[in-house]
Amino acid sequence: MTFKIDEERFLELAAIEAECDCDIIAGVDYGANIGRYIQTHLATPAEVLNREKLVSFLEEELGERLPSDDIENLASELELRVQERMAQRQSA
Amino acid sequence: MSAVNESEEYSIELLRVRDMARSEAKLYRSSARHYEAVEQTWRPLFAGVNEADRNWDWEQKQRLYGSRIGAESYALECEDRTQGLMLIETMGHRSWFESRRRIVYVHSIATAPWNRPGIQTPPEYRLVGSALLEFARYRSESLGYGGLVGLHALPSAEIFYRRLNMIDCGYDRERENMRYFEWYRPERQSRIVEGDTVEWDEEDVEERQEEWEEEYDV
Repeated sequence: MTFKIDEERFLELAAIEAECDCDIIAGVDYGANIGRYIQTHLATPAEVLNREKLVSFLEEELGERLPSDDIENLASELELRVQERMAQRQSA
Repeated sequence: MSAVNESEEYSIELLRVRDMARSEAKLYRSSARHYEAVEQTWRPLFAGVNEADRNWDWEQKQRLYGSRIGAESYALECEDRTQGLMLIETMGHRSWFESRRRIVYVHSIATAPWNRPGIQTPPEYRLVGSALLEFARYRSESLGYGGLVGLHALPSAEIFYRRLNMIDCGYDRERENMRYFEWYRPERQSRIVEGDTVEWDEEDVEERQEEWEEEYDV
């Protein structure tokens, strides 16, 4: 499988960009709170959430029902949510 | 799971607007030289304009998010200049429509100031943003996620994502009330329909939006 934009799609995308005539940007911007947000994130994982303990807990509770990559994913999701929630609390 | 070779590069054509000529561009995994280029060549052009991402620091983004499992960052170069950047997350995100299905989440995407109609008329190149998003969809396909891609749009670009047939899933309070968009298609069609999306019935979307708002108390 290789990445390629074929001619038809190229022309379609060019037409859409011309029609919309807008700046293409996406993503969360923490604006003025970026300092605190970064501070919180730079403290991870050891100071905010112990990933090893979290994975161990999830494995213990869910290990028989979920494969290990799902457990790792769950831990990543939770880790991210905890960090962002903490950043929100700190910047509120 | 299909990993991307760190040193791999992809050839892409851009459209140079001033003469409508095709220009050869390369997509790479982004590195320090790209972030330096942003600081040196993008940043000065943000002075005096009210772009939502004018304070973004891509080097910091890379430090914060780039080391996460499944994070991948890319730079699009043309004529020795960084034309656009994108940070995607290939793990830890699920479809708004089917929570059991994984998606590629576009954490951040931005084009160079000279490619933005809001800053330069006419912009220098078209297809920078589109090509990056198409690559996110390609990554989703290659990872077996069926081409599902999600992102939180900045208001000025919402019209663009709608035109790309990404589905507007409404405001997301968890992400600064930004609108969440997703390229979604039912699983049975994922591997059959290349480069196409399936539009949800309006009632289906409204119903899912109500569930979402109830769930997150929006």
